Amino acid sequence: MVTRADAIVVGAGVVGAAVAAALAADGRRVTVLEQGVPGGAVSGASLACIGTHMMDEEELPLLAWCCDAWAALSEKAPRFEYSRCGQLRFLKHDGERRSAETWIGIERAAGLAPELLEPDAVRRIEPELTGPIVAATWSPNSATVNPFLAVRTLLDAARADGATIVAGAAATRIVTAGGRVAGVETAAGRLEAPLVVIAGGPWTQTLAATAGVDLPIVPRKAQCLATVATRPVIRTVVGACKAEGGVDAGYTQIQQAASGQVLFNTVLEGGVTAAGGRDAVPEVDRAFVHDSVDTLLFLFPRLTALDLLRSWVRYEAVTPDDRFLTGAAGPDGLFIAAGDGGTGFVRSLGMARIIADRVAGREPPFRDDIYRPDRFAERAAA
Amino acid sequence: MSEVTIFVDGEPVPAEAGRPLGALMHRIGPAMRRTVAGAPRGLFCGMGVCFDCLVTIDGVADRRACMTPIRDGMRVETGLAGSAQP
Amino acid sequence: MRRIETDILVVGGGPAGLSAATSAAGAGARVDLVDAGAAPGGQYWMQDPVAGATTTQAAEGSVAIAAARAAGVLIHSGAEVWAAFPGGEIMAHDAEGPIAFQARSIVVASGAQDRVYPFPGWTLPGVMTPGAGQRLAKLGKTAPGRRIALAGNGPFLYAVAATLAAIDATPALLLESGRARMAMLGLLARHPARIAEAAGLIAAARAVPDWRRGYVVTEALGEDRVEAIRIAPIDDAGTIDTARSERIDGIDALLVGWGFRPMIELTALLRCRHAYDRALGGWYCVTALATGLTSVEGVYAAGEVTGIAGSRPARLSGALAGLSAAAALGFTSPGIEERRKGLVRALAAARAFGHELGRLAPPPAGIADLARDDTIVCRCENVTRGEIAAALGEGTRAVAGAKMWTRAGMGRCQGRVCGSAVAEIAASLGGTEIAAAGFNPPRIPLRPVPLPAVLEATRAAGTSETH
Repeated sequence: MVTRADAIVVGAGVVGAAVAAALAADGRRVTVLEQGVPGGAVSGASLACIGTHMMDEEELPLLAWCCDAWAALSEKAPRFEYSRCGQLRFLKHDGERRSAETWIGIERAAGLAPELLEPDAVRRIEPELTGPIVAATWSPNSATVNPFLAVRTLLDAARADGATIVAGAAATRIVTAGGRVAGVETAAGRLEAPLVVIAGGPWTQTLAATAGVDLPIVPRKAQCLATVATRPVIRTVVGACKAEGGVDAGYTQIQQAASGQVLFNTVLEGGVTAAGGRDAVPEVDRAFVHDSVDTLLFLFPRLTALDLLRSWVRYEAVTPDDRFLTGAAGPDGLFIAAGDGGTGFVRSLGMARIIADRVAGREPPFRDDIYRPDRFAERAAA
Repeated sequence: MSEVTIFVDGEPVPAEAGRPLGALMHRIGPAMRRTVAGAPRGLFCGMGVCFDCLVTIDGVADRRACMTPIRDGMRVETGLAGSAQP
Repeated sequence: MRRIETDILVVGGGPAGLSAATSAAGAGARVDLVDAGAAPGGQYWMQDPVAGATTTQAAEGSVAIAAARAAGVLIHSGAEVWAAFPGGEIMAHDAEGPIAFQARSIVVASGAQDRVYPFPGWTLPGVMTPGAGQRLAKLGKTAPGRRIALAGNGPFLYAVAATLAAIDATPALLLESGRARMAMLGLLARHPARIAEAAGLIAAARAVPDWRRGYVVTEALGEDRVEAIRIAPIDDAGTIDTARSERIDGIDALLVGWGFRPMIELTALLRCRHAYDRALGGWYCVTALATGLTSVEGVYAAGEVTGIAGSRPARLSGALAGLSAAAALGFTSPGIEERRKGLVRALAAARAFGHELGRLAPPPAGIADLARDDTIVCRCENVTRGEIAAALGEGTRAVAGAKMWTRAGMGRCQGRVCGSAVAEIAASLGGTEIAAAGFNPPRIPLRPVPLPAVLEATRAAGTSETH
């Protein structure tokens, strides 16, 4: 193992890989430490949707920048199954129209082009979506990527700029000296660097605590299912309209991977899974399986002949306001980039931009104060 | 012993009810389907593990020929003539 | 949905499962047995679906099946187990839909599958496992081909030769990688009771016109099916000498297998402890010698899933697990302890023979390296050895990492076919122990299950569907 680097990135998920690529592109000698397999924990288990739709009003400039950055990356390194397929959010009840229209208004004001479609128009975009929906929003700029190949592409880019990736190396402690970061302790020994970025998803707060930094990140169980591969049947990312309250309020995402497998999940409100041990190897919940299959067949009734093939669980890193904790924290030289809230893929490139810019003393192309890791401590003090 | 007739890609084939469809299909020809890349596949494990001997049975796609006992009138479609499957 | 409450659920209807079920039911427990096959018997006691028991082996099986039924065992055939939910519920699925079993104890006797390693041409139709050839002959009365090559290692090859001979399909060629003739004689000398059985098997091998030891098949050749094979000798150092390979034309069926692999998916899903031993088939479920109990309370395992050892240990370990599981639930009778002790003793001897046999016939070193860069390793997702090697070279690790980065093991079979090979490729490239490559932890569903059946199986009790 290289024992001295300009920067250490802890975590080789999509955020860590993006941060490593951005720092290496600035000419820094970067070492990435990954406790397991790169992309193997939270990132690889995600459905990796790149989009701006029904996310967070204040984050729209960043999200739009991220969508462009992903598109640019796929032009440069077209091997991660990037597909600008667009996104539909279905409405089951007329009562959801107001929410849908509010979101559309917000996004159009930000220069984006979502619209509300009636069922006939929805079926021109997604012919197999024959279930009894009342309408759907359509956000044409959404894309999907293969999460593993995307992480691999970012790590490749970092490596091309001189980064070293060490898998199976868990960081156990942040080493400080004189109020500054001096490196990272691992089971295999100490690694020295004046700059450390913790991009450890739900493992971040444990490591940050070793440098006296208290981060409000909790793990949240997220689950997913996949059918066997089938002919192309689903063209877009299909989700549920994000609405406040209501019996059917909840989260749904359905898409078909390049492999032909249909990937899907539905978490109904009330059925939201509890926080759990991020190191456990849990099974999906029975109610989750039921709700997910139920929603898939409600929307795509012709898929009843398909077989369920796989299920998996991951632990997302959740912050109190669902935004990342990104920026400097604690001792000089320590940076955080964590708190995906389940939508880390799209935002990872933006978080990497913030870290690289702040490290280099540059101003990021979008506001980053809303991600400051110490924002909750300040609010509590106030 | 019960002699029945099943249909493979539309052609009537005499068969013995109760025996695995996979065996009859193998006798007709060892290839039973094609992958997306167009490669032929047939019976491999013969015990329901490998999912290589997938055929369409009575309109239901991707059934394991090796695990399906022959029934009178069964209609079997291979993936050999039409579109490929993964 | 059918819901069945029972004392003991036995998973698997081969020698181990039937013996477990019979001994537990004999002790007074209610026993349900779930088996994937159209009829019970498993691979060893396979029953002819039309003609009934036509061989002594099958007849022995039909006696065992009748004994299980007479003891009151309820047999659910054609049902595959696909889930275990918290609270001990085991979900199976058959042609009619899901069945939920709520059992106080479980005996897993899931058996084994042929262990295979990729080589160029192995996806061609006509190339299959020896087990597939045997099932073709036994269940389908069908010859795998007109000119058959049977290859790999282990005594099972002889059994397949005998089965094929019985339907007038004696292989043209028998290629064994091993040369351990003297060691085999030594083993038999120490277990004279097995000599008659061995003599019968060797006679079947002798009936093969071209029987070669110390050879492996390195390639299958053909356009839309196998038409020829390439074989190579193993040199004195144990290395496959491809420089001395030769081509044999006119082969229309190639049966290659390297013994068996324990089917650990259910025991792994239940979080039982597993260990690795290549001679025992790879990863196997660890059980207590005195009881058959796994590391998980209420979960017993028996037969090949506890390490490949053959049908005799399967029967004995099944009887032991069934008896222990029943006793733990309070179903005991006078003399049961003596019987248990006798089973433990007999099992130790039978296993010793089976394990030693396994050690005499390991797959040759480097067998997973027969695959070339463009050879498909994961047959489901069409992932080549080159793609796996590249992923391992770029930073991902072991079996789980290869799955994530290349999709090897992410298809319909869930890595059951390519798992052994991916582990050995990872070990070979990384210079590590095969065991360090691990295995893919199974998740539900253990087998592909139709979505409507999943919906029904996961519905909360007492609710109906609404939209």
